[in-house]
Amino acid sequence: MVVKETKVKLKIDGIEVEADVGQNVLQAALDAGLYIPYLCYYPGMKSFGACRMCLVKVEQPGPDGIMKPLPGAPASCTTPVAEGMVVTTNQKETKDLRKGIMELLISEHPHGCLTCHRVDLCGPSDICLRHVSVNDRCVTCPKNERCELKDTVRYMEMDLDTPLTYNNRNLPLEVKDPLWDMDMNLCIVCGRCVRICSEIRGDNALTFISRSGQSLIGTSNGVSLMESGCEFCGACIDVCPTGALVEKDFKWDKPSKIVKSICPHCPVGCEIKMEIDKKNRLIRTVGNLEGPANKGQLCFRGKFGLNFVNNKERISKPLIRVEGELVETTFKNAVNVVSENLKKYSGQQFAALISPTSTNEDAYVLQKFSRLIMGSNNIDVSSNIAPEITDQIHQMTGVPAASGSVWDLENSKSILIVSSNLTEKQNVLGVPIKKAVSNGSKLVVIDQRETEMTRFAEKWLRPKYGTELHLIAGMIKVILDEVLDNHKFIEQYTDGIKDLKKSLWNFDIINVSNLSGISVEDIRDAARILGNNYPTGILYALELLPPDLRTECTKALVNLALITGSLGKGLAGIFPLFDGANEQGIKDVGCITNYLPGYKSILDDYNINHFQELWGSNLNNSIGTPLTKIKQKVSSGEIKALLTIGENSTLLNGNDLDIKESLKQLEFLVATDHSNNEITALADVVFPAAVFSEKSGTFTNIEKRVQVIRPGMSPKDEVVEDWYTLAQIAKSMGSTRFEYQSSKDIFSDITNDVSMYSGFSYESLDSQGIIWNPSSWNELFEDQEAQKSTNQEDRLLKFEPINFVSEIATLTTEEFPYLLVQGRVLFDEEISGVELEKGKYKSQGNPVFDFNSEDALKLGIVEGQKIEIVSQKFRFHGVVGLKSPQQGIVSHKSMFGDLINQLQTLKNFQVSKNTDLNLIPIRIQKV
Amino acid sequence: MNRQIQDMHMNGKSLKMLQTGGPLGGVLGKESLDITLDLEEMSQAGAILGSGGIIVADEEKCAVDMTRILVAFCQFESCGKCFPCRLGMVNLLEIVERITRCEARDGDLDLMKDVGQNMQMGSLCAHGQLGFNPIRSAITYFESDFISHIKDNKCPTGSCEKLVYLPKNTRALGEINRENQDKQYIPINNII
Repeated sequence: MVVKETKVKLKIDGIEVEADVGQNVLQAALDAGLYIPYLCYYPGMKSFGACRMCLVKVEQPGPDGIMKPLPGAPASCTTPVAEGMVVTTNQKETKDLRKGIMELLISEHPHGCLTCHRVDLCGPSDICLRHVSVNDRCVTCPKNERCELKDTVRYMEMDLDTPLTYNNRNLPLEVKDPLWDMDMNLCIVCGRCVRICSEIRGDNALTFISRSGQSLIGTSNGVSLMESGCEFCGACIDVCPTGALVEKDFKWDKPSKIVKSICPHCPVGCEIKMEIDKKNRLIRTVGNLEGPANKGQLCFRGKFGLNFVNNKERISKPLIRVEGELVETTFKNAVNVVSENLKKYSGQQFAALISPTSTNEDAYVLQKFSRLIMGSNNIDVSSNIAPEITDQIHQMTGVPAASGSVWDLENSKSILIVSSNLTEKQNVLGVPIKKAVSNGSKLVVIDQRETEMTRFAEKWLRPKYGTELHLIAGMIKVILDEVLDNHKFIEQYTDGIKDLKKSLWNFDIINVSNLSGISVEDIRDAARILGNNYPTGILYALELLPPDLRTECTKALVNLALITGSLGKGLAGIFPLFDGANEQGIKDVGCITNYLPGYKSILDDYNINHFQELWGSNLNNSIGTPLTKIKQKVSSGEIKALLTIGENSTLLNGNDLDIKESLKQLEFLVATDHSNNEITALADVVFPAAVFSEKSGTFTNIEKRVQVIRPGMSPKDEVVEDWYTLAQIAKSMGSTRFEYQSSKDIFSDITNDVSMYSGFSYESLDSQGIIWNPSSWNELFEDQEAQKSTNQEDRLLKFEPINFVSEIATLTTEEFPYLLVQGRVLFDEEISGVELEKGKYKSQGNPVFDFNSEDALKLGIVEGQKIEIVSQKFRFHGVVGLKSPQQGIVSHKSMFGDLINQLQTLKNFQVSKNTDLNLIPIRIQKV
Repeated sequence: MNRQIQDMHMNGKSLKMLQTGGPLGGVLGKESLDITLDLEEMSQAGAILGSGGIIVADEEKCAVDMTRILVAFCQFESCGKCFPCRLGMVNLLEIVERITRCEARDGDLDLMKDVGQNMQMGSLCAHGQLGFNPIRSAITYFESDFISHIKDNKCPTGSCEKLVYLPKNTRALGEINRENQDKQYIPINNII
């Protein structure tokens, strides 16, 4: 076997450089710390070769071994590296050539200040002694000093006394779209924005318009962003080398420092660069290219939705309730009031909820406080509305979380998404998925709603309400029946396949087809796609499922991952899609009702004794009340005191678990929060809480990667981190176990108590974070010896039989006999006539509600007829369409831009607010 | 080439220019009549065989105007991807138009050469690499025509149509290349 060389050596400017095969010369040079000017190349994207700034001279040995120069001046971004290559980047000839091309470029780009020696002293409003028109000055450009073009010109040491005539394009600014401004006079047509939109994001919202000297950037046919399929991720703004595309907010502000941190909006854990200005405001966020989970990508929430930290109405002083009114007080006084009151409660009477945006350190201190001082295991994350989706993985694989990493999805041969709206809730997960699909992976989506991912799906199944379980089990049966399973994996790593096979007898494909309303062929096709193309990535939120079906459905999905052999090193495997940013980490460190830190079962006396010794006090060993039951227990008066930590708005989720009303029953409510909301309004004591940009600590993302968040802003007044508040309360209640000076102290406690985190430190997590895996998991896939020695019964990966659920709860009632399925799409050719009004989109025309043709027949309605949709909460007018796939389902889709509109109207663009697309029972009235 | 062209009817006028190989080819003088139609000899003469088409012009045609038409075409046909071609052609056209209007500045010929050389070395595809060809070959064979436009401010043949500024919203024949630009010069005969 011929071993292929994966590394080559070449010389760049006399320096020996080692590069990977397939890299180009520019990448090799940049990796080695050498700079070649470039404008159109961007790390992570394919080379384009348009700007010709990276031209070099190259000599390369031919087949006969004699060095031969490549003809002309090849662009280093499109020249692949080769063994023995000699590259010269700074010959006078190439330098002059670059300068000549830059002069051409400058001839249509405003550059008034580029040659001025006074520019450092000059401000936007200064009178210019050189009589450069305002539009042609760099100091009036929003990207001044952040401009790559300017940097390149300076690097090239250009004189800029070119005799070429300067032509400003004199195009009007485009400022109509929300969130971004577009100044096409500054565009250099490098195409980065167009390419990132199509190549990385898969949206194709931007395109080149026209050609030759007039070519520019725009949307096709000049439509608004909303109609073009834009997902408002801001990637185009991040890559723009000039001021052509900029964010609308804080457009002119310049950062005084840039701090790396992690976005607190969803569990993907995108690394962001926070730009903070002199006035201590977060003015901009840019995705960090080195970010391991996002590779520079963000979503509308990470890019435009972090403004809440600058809110002027943030709580800055502790408040206590005196005669029914919340009044400001000192921190010490507030702590005393809390400790006096909390002394009255213990055990089951107390519960604590922590927001998913809190750090692992906050969570660790909270669970310690609750267990050690209050003697209560009623601790949960306030976003943990579907705990079943992770619990079951724990039992079947030994890992209470996703099995793979985010970018492993890119290499999956097939991907299954079940009932999740991931491009809105965990947006950046969609990036590797779209990339995988564009590279030939097959995507199967099981969802009643039309979401962005259904556009990329090879197979989109829309089953009846609550029949996802049967559908998936049916697919497993097809895979096993047609012998498409991964025998080798099953034999080597798993246990219990026989039990699974037995349990599948109930899921006869015809029966499944009848139940779910999906044809036998479609079920077979979908199963074959997964069976013929493993490894598979399986992502599920199970949002639309009845809660009691989630456990079985998760079981089925893990079984599916096991029979396709999709778990292991470098494989995507299973992703339970929860909502909270740090939900994973908070559970890891013990904010969970049935586990002590590190998933040590609370029912095990050994664990209880261990922690009793460690913390020096007796611990309650009964399982606590999870979030899903807190509402009920608060209403019934069993829980009398509640502590909510961090951002409370996740508790106001608007669905069945919304505890707002029941909170009035509480005797004592303590809240820490950064802003006033309905929960702080009910609280007896409110502590101001620091936000993520003021905290130091760690977040653990969906792929179990522990990452460091760093403080960029300094907190105002008496705003402190939550762990500090809790530690002070604990101290004032007489405990000596909370002597923490900094979050580092807490983290060292975490590394001691949580076995998966052992050995971690802020320093070791600093650059890329670390993905934790239990040691047994590592043994399973890495240690060949250990694999052989384990008995089949002791294996970590276990199949579980799937129970057939024959009774499926219905949402519909006699009054509301139909289910409204709401979809939301980026792009829809049927929805047209969007108008822009004061930076907001306005859809024209009537919304279409799609009926099944059988239903339409029954109701006596025809296509295009006007109807009224009535639910318990709202009434809508619309027209009838006939595209619904299932009887009893009325489907409707709206545009993503509408959501952006709604979010904009919210104060400070609170994107963490509920954006759910739920099923709603409705009835139809003719108009 | 001589044999190909000798039969042509010149209306009693003598031959002045040969334009070969399509717009990206070259403008040749009548001294080139004797070269054979093959790749090497053509490229030695500064033209290309290209599509094989030959345009013949008589003594009443101005070489500068001919060049302007060719450059305008090349500029319009650029795809607009790589910077040297996209911007180089725009600038070349502007300079050639300037010369045609007898408004040339000092050093315009050298400037064109600089821009042209950068295009030839730096462009991504053959369009940009050859885009300077018509100007270069025209200057080689008909430098006197250019000099007379630049120095004497007149067209030696008198055939250069006067280019006029086209006010916005005026209708004109032919392609108007430079939308969104204030300066839209077109031949005076083209205004409707």
